[in-house]
Amino acid sequence: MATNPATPVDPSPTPAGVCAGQQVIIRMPSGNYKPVKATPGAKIDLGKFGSFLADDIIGRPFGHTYEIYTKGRARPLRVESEYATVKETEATNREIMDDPQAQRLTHDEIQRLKESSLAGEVDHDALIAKMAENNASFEKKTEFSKAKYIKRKKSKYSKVFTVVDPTLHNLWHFFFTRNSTKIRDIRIDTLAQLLAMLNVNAYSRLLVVDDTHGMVLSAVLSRLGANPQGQVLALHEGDSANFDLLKLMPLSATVSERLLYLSWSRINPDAPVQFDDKDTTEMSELDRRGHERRKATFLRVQAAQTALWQGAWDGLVIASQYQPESILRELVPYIGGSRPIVVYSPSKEPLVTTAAFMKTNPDYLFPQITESWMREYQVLPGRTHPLMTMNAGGGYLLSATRVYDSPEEVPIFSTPRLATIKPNKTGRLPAKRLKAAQSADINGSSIS
Amino acid sequence: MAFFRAKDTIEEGDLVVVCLSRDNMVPITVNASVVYNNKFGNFAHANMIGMQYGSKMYSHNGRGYVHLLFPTPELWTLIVPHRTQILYLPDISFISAYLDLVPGRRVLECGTGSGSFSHSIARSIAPNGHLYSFEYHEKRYEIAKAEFEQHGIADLITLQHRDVLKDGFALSNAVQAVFLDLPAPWDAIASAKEAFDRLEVGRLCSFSPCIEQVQRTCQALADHGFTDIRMFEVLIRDHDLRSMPHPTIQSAIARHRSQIEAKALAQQQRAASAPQANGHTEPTTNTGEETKKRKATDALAETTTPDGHDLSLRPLTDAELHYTLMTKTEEECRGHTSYLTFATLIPAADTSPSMMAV
Repeated sequence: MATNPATPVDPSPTPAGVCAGQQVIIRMPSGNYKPVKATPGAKIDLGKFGSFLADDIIGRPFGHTYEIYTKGRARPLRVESEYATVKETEATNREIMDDPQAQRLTHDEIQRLKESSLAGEVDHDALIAKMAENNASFEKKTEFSKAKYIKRKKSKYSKVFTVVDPTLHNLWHFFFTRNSTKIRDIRIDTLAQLLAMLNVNAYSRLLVVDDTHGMVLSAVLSRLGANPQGQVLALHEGDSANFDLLKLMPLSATVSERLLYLSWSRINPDAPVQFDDKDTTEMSELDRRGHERRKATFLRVQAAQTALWQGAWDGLVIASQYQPESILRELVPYIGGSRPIVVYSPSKEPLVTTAAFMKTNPDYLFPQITESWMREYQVLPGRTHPLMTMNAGGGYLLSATRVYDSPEEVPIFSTPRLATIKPNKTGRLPAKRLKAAQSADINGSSIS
Repeated sequence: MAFFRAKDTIEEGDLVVVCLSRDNMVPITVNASVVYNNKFGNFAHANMIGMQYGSKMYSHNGRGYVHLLFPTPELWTLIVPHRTQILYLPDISFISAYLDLVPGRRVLECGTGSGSFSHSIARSIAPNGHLYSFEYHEKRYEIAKAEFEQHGIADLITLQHRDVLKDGFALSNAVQAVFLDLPAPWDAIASAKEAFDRLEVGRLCSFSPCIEQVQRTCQALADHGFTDIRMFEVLIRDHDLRSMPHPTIQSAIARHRSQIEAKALAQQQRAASAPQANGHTEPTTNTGEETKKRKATDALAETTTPDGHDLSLRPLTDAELHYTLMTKTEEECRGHTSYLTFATLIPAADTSPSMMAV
């Protein structure tokens, strides 16, 4: 049998392991994610779960699970899927009473066990086994309830953590569970749809309006890669951009080069940024450095302005607190034909007014509002069901395609016609246009 | 031309999506000697050349127009001509995010089907990633092969005609992500595990419509050492925008009141004119004939004034109708596509002394 005829061109540029000094995300026994810095020689503190030395994880692949086996040190641990450890059972809960006295260990005894566990004297599995053993109702539980009990205790007492690989999904999970309003409550399925609708690829040149502290920007950049043809221009308010989530995205320097920033106050094409370049030879050291700093800022802004005004961008994505129509009016002239425009909002109302604006404007084809729905299931032998709680709303997307009203009109923003919202069903021409079309030289008027 | 790589101007040989409406889009390959024809009339390919993508093009007689669109994987999913059971945007996008399909990734897909997802994968992993795609149906394999060539993505994809359940994938240490769309995915898990590059985190997704398939797949995944087994369902629904009348109940009351008043006035007018016409007649016995007659007059009085003005409820004025933007979900939408089962394969244990299995 023939093996693979072709081999990949170039292996993935993403580092496979934890580098010294890198920001990494730890999944703790509680299931919570915590960002930490892997500085060689430094202690990494996981609070009540204990601490370990950064060197214990540096140089090792992402995805590995570790156990804090003694005070301040961790070692890799092999884990099994929950599916493999749970068995089907016939036991019922008829003997189980809701009894707070079921635990025979006293609070103090448990505290002492916890302390010795943190000191590495007692294995956390032994601790949990001891608690189960002293729980009067444990033996009466079904296998499944037992597993649930142990899982619950593990999330409190275990010292097992995982170094999460910094994929978009994992980063999103961290931000969403920590403070979802900071990322405008965008859910991963909606974020993923946004990327697909936007046709993000290594060659994309995209305009990004991101008020999600960089969540959308991180997502776009992860799909852009390091290809020099790709480019992202992020619009921001005020003097400097605030995309602090980018810090956790392991973007290589080459990916960062693809990113341009421009303040909203700099987008007016009649007001290009000015700079008075002086001879620095006579300047004091302090003045010279200040001058160079200002010059660097000027060059950065100028590059972003030039790129924006050049136009023919491959798409526009908006996830902003500002009225989407107002943003479209400013930026759509710079979007090329047949390119996608995607607007995210956690509420439907802003998208409704924007969709109405789009429907009465010939620059947009098929504006469509979609709502996303996502449900996770527990899959276990004989116990498969949707999770008992789910995220209630994933937000809404409005997508449309940028088109040109007529071949003559290329990237000029036309005046919106706000009279009616009825779409033109027949697509019939006004008399004036009809005449123009007929007089034009059109070959092949009969079917060949 | 690369399928997904946006360009501005239409050229000979380009794949153009001719768009009549949302539900009526046709892919054509531009050939200067051909004329495309639809219900609006003729559209000469020769005239498309040099036009901007996204332009509106009128038919030869001006009876209608189309938009000339650039093909993207998302558009292709909507118009793919030889559809098998294909994946749609919510599933495609979610799987792509979970499997972290970014430039440079090496991916395995089985089966190819109509190639809908393959186009999307190729777009996401280009320019330096690679897709190994497997299809056991010979005809589908041939169509997909020709299509990948035509769409300029063949360099990114190694397509094989192969029965993987019988012969396996014959790949080792090759990929970081695996996507299985098979009737019995559990039989492919062992070979899929082989295909993973064991130096990095590997992720697998299995796409199955039935819950029984999911359970067997999860068992196989657990047996083969996969962890973090999670299962999701994703859907989207459209909200159609319309401008709908949204009048107040006060406007309805006012209109009814004015009708009541007009009717009362008409009755008064009739009553005032009735004795004059009949003089002072004595009350007669109530014959059936007369009752009928009076009823007819009363009915008339209900709907018109004596001088013939209409007394029915007037329609609400435009101002009263108060047209308002509203959204409404479609009557029907996709309720289920498939369950998406994900699992992680952590990098192989290394040999350093601290790596201890517990």
